Amino acid sequence: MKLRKTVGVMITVSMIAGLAGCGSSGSNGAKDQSQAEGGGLQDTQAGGEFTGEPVEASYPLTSEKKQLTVYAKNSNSSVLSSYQEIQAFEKAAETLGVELVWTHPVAGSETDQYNLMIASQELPDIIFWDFSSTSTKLTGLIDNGSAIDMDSLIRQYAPNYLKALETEEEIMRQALTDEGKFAAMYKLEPTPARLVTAGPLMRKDLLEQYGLEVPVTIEDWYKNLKTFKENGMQAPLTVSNSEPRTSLYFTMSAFQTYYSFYIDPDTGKIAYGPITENYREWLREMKRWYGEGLIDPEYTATDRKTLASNMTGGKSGATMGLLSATIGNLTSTARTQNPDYELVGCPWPVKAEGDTPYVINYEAAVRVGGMGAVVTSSCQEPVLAVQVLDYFYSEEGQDLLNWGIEGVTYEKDGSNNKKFTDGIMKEASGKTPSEAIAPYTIPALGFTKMMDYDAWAAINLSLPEQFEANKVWAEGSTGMMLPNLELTSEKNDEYNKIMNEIKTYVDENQIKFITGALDVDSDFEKYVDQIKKMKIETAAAYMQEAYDAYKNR
Amino acid sequence: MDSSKKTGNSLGKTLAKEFKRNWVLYVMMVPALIYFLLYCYFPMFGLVIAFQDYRVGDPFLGGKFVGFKHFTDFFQSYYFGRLLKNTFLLSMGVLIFGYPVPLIFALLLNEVRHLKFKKLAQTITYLPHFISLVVICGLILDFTKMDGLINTLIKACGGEPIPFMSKPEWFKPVYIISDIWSSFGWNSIIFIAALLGIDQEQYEAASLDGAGRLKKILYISIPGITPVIMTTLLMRLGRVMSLGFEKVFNLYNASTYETADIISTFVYRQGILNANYSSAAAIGLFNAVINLALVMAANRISKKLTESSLW
Repeated sequence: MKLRKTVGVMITVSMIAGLAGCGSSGSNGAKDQSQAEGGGLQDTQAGGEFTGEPVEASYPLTSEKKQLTVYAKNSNSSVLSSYQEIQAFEKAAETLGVELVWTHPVAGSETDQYNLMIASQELPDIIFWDFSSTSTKLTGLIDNGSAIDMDSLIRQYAPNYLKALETEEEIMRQALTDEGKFAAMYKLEPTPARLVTAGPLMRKDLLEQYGLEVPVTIEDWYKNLKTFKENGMQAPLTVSNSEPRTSLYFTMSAFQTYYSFYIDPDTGKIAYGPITENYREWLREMKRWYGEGLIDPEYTATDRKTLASNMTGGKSGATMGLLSATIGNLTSTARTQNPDYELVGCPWPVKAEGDTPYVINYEAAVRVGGMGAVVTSSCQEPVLAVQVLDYFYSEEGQDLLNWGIEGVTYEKDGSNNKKFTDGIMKEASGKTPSEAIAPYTIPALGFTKMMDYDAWAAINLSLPEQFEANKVWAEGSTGMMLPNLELTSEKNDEYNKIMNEIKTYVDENQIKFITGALDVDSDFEKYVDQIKKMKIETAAAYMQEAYDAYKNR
Repeated sequence: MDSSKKTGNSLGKTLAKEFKRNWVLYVMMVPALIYFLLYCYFPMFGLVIAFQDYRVGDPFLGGKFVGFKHFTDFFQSYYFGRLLKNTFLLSMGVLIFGYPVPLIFALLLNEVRHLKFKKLAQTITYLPHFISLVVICGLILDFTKMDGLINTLIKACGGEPIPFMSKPEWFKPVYIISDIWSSFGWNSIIFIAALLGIDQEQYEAASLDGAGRLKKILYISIPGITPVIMTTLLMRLGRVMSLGFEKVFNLYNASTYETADIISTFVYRQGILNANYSSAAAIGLFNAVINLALVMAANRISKKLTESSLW
């Protein structure tokens, strides 16, 4: 009897807990994306019949106002609550007669939310996303019917996009699938230097103070870090391995190795870095650095915030970092205390002077296909959607998304050279150029457009050292980095399964080798054997196959 | 009492009578029933994807059936043993070291006669429960840093600082100790409530017989709340393998995977991040089956030993 009473109490308690849980999960799933169903659905502009001939669009595209929903990451969430606020899109809506209605996933859990959106099949009209970073890739999205086959639509209704692709053979090759089709409308990168946004950094003021040079070889690096250490610096090199662009991996350049698949510069074939002898050499060197206290002992648990405080607080003097998020933010923070604070972008380290430095950055060779837009199967007017996206590749659309609004954010001189106005570059209220431009347009953010190096550099590289760092880093060869490769859905599933297991194993053991929990000399063979047992060769064969197909496009 | 003559008809009558008498209670049950149907029973149909090669976009039951493939894949996986071990050890650690703390706290608090102090102690110990877990994890990460609170204390005592969150051997202690800290106050509520329900006359009678405080705790308080102790223990045992995902997720990193990676974080990486929904569902189902077995075993043992059980 007593027990029954207790159970009663328990059930009540768990009920309350359950309700509380329900409340929180309810607010989590609050993505009542108002699925705006673009106005009158019947009349599709421009006939809609596929003739195979490119159709130049005439603006406005429709006689009545229409809306298209777009799902995209808000890459500027600290300043903008939604792309809806960006004036360039408002202006485009006036020209086109079609308004883009934006839905953004919550910052910080984009991957989860994207996967859930696809799984729930509550699709917007257009998805703009970095498909290469998703597990199903674009192929999976097309195979499961979420995205429509855009090939014929693009060939017919996207003349501006096609023109933009024709500027360079490499760009055209990366924009096509292995079957020679157009699967999406991508963000295009005509200037390779724009992709090298991360690299090794050192405190320039300290180098000068100790009479050191900017390091070139890996031995220079060692000496400089050693000098920092001898002068009382706690952890000369700080990195955050949660993001490859702020990690220890920049030193791999000197050893011609990589933490994943790469193109072996000697053979021109695909190789998996962590099982090579070069990688073993790299581990040895990193172990030496770690053993002598040159690397932050907490580097595996370091996040961006800690990295920033290490770099500004005098605990560390070198890192791998990003142009704006690291150089820009750290310098402006540190200069309030120390006006001499300066970071210098160092070349990618080499083994001996004269060797080729290699860019270690997974984005570096992805000229096309990092991010792209697809029209989904929920879209009632795919032709209209393609035409709207195509507009942004036209000269007018380009200027709008890269430079903003003429007379307000930029000015043209006689020979058509564009320049941002002082209102943007030197805003009186103390805003940085990137904050000042945010409500107008997106020169530094991706969308269906060609990225304009000048506009991006003006906004993002406002410090001279940022500009220099970009130049120095871009001098490295991108020959080791892969473009986006394509696998069939079945192969992709198997590839993911294999690589998920291997990646965790490699990450863990890398740390063990570096911290000395495992011995590089005696345990490395066993480690390689285990990775082979996890079927690395199957995954490597898939990648090689995909790379060959890519070269034949 | 002619309830011994039960036919179908009279059973219906009894039920109707029962409902008439206690209808308020039944109405109160409805929200809980709806909750369980909607969030616990209805989603169970989705388990079918554990036996399929499900891809997003496949219709329900439309995927290719592959039988137990995802289960055998998981059992043969390099990580299987480790995940099982970590999940089990971590939650057994929380149970063994963490379970007695709220109980002892409640017994001690029950002896306190100063009402204001009692209230204050309760409030302070409840507080961490109301802080978001993410914030708690942030606090833990900050405290355990090389230049954080704990290492500063260690250094002040002349010790060497320890990079706690980068050392696999430290993950479990940090997890368990912080778990006890953040939850014992809240978990003691149910014991305090049960203690209040014990007839005060028993204590008076014991005092007359010359029993001291310790004796009263041992022979009145503890036996008086044994059903509560057993029930909460059973419910905890049933959840041994479904250890909370959030906390581990917020505390671990690649250098502590070895001791920190548990089934639910693995399911998260498989299912949500890598979109292998089938494989994640299979692992989750496996986990739930173990949980069920555990709670049944615990129930039986409890029935034998103490004659109190859930069913």
